[in-house]
Amino acid sequence: MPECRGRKIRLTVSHEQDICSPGVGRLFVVCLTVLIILFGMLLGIFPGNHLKGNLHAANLSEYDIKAAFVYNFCLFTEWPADTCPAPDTPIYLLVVGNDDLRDSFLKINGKKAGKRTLDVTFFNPREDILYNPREDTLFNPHENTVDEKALRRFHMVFFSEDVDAKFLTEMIMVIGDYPVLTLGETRDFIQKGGMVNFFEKNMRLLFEVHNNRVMTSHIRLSSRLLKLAIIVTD
Amino acid sequence: MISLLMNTCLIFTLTLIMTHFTLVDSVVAQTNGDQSFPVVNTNGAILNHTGDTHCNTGDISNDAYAMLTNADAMLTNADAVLNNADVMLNNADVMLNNADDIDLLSINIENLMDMQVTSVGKKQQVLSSSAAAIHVITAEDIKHSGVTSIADALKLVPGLHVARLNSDKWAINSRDLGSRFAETLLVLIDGRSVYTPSFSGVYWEVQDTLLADIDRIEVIRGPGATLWGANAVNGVINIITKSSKETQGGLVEAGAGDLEHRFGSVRYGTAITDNVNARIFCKGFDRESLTHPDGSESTRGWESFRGGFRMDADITSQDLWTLQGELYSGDIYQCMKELPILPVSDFMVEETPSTGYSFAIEDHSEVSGGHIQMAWQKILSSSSEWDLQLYYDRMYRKELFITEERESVDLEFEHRFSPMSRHDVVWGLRCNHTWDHFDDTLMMSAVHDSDRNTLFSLFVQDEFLLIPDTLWLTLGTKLEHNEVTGSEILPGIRLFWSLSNSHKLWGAVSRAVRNPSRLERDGEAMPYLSPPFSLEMSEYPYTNYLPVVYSLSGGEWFESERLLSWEAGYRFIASSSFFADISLYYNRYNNSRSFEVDELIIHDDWIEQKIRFVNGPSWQTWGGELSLAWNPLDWLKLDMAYSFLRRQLNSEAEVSSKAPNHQFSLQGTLSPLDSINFHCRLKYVDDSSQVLWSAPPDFLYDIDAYTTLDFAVIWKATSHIDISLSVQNLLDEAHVEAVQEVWIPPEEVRRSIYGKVTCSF
Repeated sequence: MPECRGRKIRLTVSHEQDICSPGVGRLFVVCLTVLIILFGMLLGIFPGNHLKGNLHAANLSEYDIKAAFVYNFCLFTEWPADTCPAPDTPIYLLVVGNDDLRDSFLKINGKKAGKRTLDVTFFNPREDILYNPREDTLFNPHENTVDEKALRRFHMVFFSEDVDAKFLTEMIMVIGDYPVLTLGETRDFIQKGGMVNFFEKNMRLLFEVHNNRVMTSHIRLSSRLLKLAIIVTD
Repeated sequence: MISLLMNTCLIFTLTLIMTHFTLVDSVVAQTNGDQSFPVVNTNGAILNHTGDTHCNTGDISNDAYAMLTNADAMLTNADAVLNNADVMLNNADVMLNNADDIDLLSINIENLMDMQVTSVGKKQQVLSSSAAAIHVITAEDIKHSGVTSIADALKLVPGLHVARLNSDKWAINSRDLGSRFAETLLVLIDGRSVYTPSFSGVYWEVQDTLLADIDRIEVIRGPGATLWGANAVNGVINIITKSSKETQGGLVEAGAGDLEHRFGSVRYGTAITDNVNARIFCKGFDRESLTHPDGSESTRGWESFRGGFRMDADITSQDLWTLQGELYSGDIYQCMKELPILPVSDFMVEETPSTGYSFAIEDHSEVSGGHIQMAWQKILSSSSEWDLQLYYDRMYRKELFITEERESVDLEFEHRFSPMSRHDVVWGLRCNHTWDHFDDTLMMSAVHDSDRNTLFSLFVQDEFLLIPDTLWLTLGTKLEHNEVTGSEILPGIRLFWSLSNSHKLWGAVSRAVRNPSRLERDGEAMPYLSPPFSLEMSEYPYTNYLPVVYSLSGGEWFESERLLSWEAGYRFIASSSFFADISLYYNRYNNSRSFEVDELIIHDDWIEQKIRFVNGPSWQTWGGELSLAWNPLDWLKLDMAYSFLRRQLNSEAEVSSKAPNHQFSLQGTLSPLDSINFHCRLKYVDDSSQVLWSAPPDFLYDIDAYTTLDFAVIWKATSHIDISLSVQNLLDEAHVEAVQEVWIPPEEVRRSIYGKVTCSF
């Protein structure tokens, strides 16, 4: 045993007596020990459950999950009849933002949501690039204004967080009361007039819905969706 | 009692692991027997069993709604199916992990809400948007660097002075000289303050948890009093552990080395129900001691054991409950060398040392404690939430010079909301009640053996967006009331200017206060016993024949320390692969801890030199920190940090320590293969000097500049097993990093090596 250098003297000072009172302190130790053991037993009853969590660890990007959410929104949203004359009218989705989201949203492009097909258009406002085989122009590159008519044709518009605040406000103004479900992912998206906003909390994606605004636009969200949403008002 | 607990926990955990393995084995066996290995689609179909397909989009008529309701009923059934189908799911999940392209559309919305989102660049997001000198140590940094304690991990932070005193003690400070008794750093673990009011410091040796379960350590250099309250003077260290959702499965770690003699930890986490996750862990180690500068061994080192649990329950998507608790106990064998012993006459005849009456004695200290903590987070919207937290914490510490027992209860409420579109307000209330008991010795005593203290505080802070996306102004203040020094106001103002996406500027002026410790107001200590020969007291001729006892006392006259700090910083985010952070500061301290030589009392066979704790005159520090992070390649990461610090003490000070003026570190993490990770860290710390009571006449101990080189390699042997090897202090045999001011002799940090095997399942 390595030794502490020098002469050893044992002191007989008053601290030798144990002052740990058998009262609260020891009780706490006992209680917490029991709690930890009980807890461990509780975990023991559910062995293997954690493997379910592997799904969470799957290699999905944040936008993959958001795209899946948007797809689910298609399933649980009802638009007024005049915007979808036929039961198989496609659902037109506009994704506004940079190219980072493209791969994720391409995964839901052309997918069937019930009888209807999801038709995704990408618009990168920074580069004025509209990416869709269709010929519609949405944005007039020369006059820097949004083409109202084209914009209002969409059923849903998703605004990514890198959309310029001024541009976002302008687009939301253009949409106005038209039955276009606006989705966003910035803290102040609802304050800026948006309807559905995704945000991350404790590593999970939550969404808040301004349902009054949604109803004003004659869009109806299913109760199943609203049950999961955080309902906010002005 | 403690060993009983240790054994119970160990046996218990082992049983758990065994059970787990048995179950997994049986699952595998079952599946192999079946020969029907479910594939991704099967999984998808199971997950999709919640009525999505019944719901025709476009027009959800009333009929469809009815169907929906039915589907909901089916959902419940489907859930049962889901649970039964767990075994299949498990296997399918394994496939899922391998398959890149997951059919996202098959996951229903309820399950989507359970999915874990890991935003890339979260660290950078924090770094680039806060108006403070903040540094984040991620779980990866901790894993790759091979550090073995929280204190050790803090060496990765630029601007902190982290020095190891001996086997179990650290001297840590931010923007100042690190000291065992550094009184200006606030440390929180999951929101629980581990700052000890008895000496205003942190017992670093007992602040520990399973390192693999730490999510991140946020270090804020500079005052954080507006948000965190008194004592957040030079910095705030926030240690945040992972949610139990992220620590699913088992983890067994075991290792051995020369300094890290042997250590091991076990963790097991699982989902109790869909919304409730939990983990349980235990950890133990036995560390060797360091050596004295003359090469002799110190004591036996120390050993510690701890166990704990954490449970996270998402009652709804808006309500999150957390319950956690931990218990620890440790035995520290510390060498206490410079020890004044009274009555002096007992040993005067025997000993005639030339450097003081120093009797080495191995002190067996006992430390134990624990806490239980409950938190409730309610999410109201993306910009609004409140948190409620309650904890009870207890510590016990028996050392040669004092025995301390402390309990505290703390209740905290915090509410964040956005009253207007450009305002982001956070306010909070806190009430903390602490009571303690000291058992005195001749070396140290408290006038009042027991004491109670209640602290109330209220804070409010508004982050006001002056120019959209460009300029933020943060104004805030904290009002705090404690029974010792009364009320304090701790205001702060911060400005954050985002010039563009890649250039950010910030500045801050804030005030902070450090409340007097229990011993500064109420304590008496004997830091040193000088031998009869003493030059500076030559005016008393007879002192040449008598030993001098220095006795230090605190009293009611000791007031709070104050700091006024000016800070500024600049961040440059070139791309995701390059990041630069510069911060500058000027701190002016008032009423800081100082000593005043008082009267000299001549006893029959010894002389007592009274010294008092007093509030010293003002002094200043200024300096800066620069850190660069560069990821030139996917598998290569380089970090550089440099910090500069100057202190200007008042001229009258007779004894003035010196903080290291320059610190430099260079870190490289490279993983040329997926299975191998190298980490290498070079750190230079400039020379410093520290107060050492046993080193008259100037009472200073000079510490030479030193350079350390640490190296760690992790080899991922299989998907379940990691093998790692760490070497610390590759460059020199041993060096002194810091000394404790009293009682403990200097010890040298020496070259050391350890190996570790980590098994996760």
